[in-house]
Amino acid sequence: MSEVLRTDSFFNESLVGLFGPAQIVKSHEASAGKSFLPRVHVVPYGTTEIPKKAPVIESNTADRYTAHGDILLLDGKGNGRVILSQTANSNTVLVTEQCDNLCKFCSQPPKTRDDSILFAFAAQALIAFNSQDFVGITGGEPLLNRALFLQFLDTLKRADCHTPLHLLTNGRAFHDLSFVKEFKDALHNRDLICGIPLYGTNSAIHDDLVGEPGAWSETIDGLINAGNHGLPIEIRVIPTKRNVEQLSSIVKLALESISSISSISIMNLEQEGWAKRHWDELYIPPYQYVKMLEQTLKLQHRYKIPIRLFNYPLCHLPQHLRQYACKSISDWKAIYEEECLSCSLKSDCGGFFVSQKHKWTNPTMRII
Amino acid sequence: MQEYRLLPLNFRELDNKQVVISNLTNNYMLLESKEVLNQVVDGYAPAALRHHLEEGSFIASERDFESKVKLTTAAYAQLLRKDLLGQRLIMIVPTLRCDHSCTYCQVSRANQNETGFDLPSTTIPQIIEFIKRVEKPPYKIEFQGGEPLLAENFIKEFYTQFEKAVGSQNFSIIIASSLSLLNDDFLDFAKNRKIGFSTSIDAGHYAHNKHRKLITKNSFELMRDSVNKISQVLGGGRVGSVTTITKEGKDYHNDLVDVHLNLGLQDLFVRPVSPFGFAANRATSVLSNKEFVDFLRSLILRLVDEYHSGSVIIEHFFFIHYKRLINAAQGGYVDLMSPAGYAKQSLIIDYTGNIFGSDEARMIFRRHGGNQLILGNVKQPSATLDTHFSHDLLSSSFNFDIPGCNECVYQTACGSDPIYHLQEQGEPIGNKSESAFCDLHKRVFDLVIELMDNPINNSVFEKWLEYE
Ligand code: SF4
Ligand code: SF4
Repeated sequence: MSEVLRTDSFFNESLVGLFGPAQIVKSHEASAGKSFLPRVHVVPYGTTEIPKKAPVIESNTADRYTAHGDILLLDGKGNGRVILSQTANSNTVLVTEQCDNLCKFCSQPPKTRDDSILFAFAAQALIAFNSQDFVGITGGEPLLNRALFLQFLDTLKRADCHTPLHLLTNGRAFHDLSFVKEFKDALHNRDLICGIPLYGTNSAIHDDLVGEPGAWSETIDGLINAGNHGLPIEIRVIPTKRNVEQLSSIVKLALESISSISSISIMNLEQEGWAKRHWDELYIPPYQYVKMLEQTLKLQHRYKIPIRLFNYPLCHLPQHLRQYACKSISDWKAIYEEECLSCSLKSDCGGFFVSQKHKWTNPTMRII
Repeated sequence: MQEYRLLPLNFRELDNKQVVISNLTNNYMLLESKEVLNQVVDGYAPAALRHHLEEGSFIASERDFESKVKLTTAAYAQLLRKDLLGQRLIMIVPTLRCDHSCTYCQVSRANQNETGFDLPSTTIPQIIEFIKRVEKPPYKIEFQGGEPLLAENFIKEFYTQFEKAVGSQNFSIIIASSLSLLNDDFLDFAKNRKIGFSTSIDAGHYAHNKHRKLITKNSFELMRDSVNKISQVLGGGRVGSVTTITKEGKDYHNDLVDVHLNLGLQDLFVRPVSPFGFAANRATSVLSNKEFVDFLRSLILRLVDEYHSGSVIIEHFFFIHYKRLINAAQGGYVDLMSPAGYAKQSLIIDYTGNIFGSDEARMIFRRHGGNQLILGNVKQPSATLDTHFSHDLLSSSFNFDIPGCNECVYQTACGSDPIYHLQEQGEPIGNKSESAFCDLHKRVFDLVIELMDNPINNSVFEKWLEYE
């Protein structure tokens, strides 16, 4: 029996006992045989020629939402989740659930158990998927175990995998200059952008939000060092009640002092993980800080570095700011409220997170 | 923040008793009075100011102090790097002959029919080799004069050979011309080629014809007709202007704007009569710096009004000072950099093939001599730059350790000009309390601070940034 849980997740009895990354094959593809990973066949319902070699997922939805070569992660209990998909507009792999920050709005609250196997899974998945497009590396804190991360880069290199990476890190590891150098060496010219969050112009605000005294000053050191070594940096800021007043100052501070910033992302708070718990304490609806957004977005004309808005449903932004909003939520993660169905902006809009369904307020401005 | 530590700052009291403060991160803040400054320094900054001061890295909590120092250092390094990197403008003087004889001419032009004042076209391959040797694409080339259009064949020939050598996408050319001699044939040549024009338009029709002398006394009319023709034949955006402000023109800021509106020109650049070269001898029409800045204020206020009524005209002399003060990305300007732009941001090849580090340097050489100013000659086989002298000049042109500048509130926005001070005071650093360079720029920065303080003006300046 197979069941589609979400468009990216499956349960299938034949997957029970299988663990780690597996690659989807579609039998009509010529190169169906090649993969060093366990293979999982996905076929539309009612296919007569079902490949003999199990496992097979027979489902129209699964067939529609997967492509030959996509990577599944199997949990051993029969559940499989697509982690690298050729049809998604962005892909991300998780390399650890451990972290040295405890952000109040963490969407993936850290765990402490040893999960170094995830690095091995990630490396296998990336090598098999062999994408030319950027793939996100996320945690936890991917650079918490620095040796493991360097090894991970080395593994990719030795397997001739040149996939460009977008590394989501709190940047604290880069406060150690010798690590920055090792890191840079291990890249061997691989394209890599570091997405590093900065939540305040001082430690009082930043450390409070990330739940870790001393984090701000290490992140500042890390930003300066990484920038000076020419690592491209995407600065990420999440406006909350605590720091929204200094949003433009945070962006300005970064742009005036950190080298090699390639872009700035303003991220709307996601109602996931711990953010749910702290929602009232943190969330501020965009209409309450439109002036501040304007002031911040203006800085891109001064510094000639793009500043973009992520995770903002278009109807939560005034019209003149919509051009800066990116459709960032992966297709399968995005949902649209019923009102959205008749909205003229829907095709350009990121919509809401699946996980926000029914928990969140309705679109404040309704159909556009 | 109850207690805080002060980070280093510079300050300056303005005429209206407000106090500007700044620091090495190039952040500026306007305080109401000296008393407020004292409170800030003594640790009793008004509560309402504290978060601004903290965000601008003027003060920090004990715990953040070290990080803020690092951020300040990093920000200052960014500033230096901005002025160290960047492309050179390569200027070529194909001829010193000119049909005009402007009263403020800076280069001692030669008469239209004289001989011996032209770069022979046989030097073109050598010039191209030289440019490729010392600079990277995309190349920015500017033809100066004299009147470059008296050497239009040279320009055409250069364009053709240069395009072959470096590819059409790798360069652009500006011709600095009075446009009195622009003919249809040349316009036709400029079609579909990356050629723009920079022309002189003085404030006031009368002043223009008085100072930009032609026997026919119609320099203004010829310029106007040519600009119109360029727009018709080549489309918009091909012409920028340079305006020299003289005594006769100082009340004509409105006239200047109207002329630009009529001609459909978006960009203008005003400057006082240059204290360099030959213009310095004919002081009668020279404005004081104060008069010049008063002119500039009226002009900018008019442009702010124009913006609100829908016309975008940007005056770049003011705008450069504004951009440098707010840390904008494109604040590079050869006369206002630290280290100086001399030889690093500009080179000029004159009609003899001699290479100079800036337009001013060639003028001073014409007037006073000084072989050190010649950095090479394109006619020499595989000519390169003799950078010995420029190195010395540039290494003493970081204004953080120049007496006067080191304590000046505008230090991080301002620049230094060793050639100017060499000419005026006999050495490249100069005594800033007697320097017209310092006086002028300080006044313009004061004006920027004054005008920015009004949000109506400031929002227009911010909008101008979008046209860059
Ligand atoms: S109504 Fe839905 S589709 Fe339309 S802008 Fe809002 S979130 Fe996007
Ligand atoms: S030249 Fe004058 S205005 Fe400029 S930094 Fe030096 S002292 Fe200040």
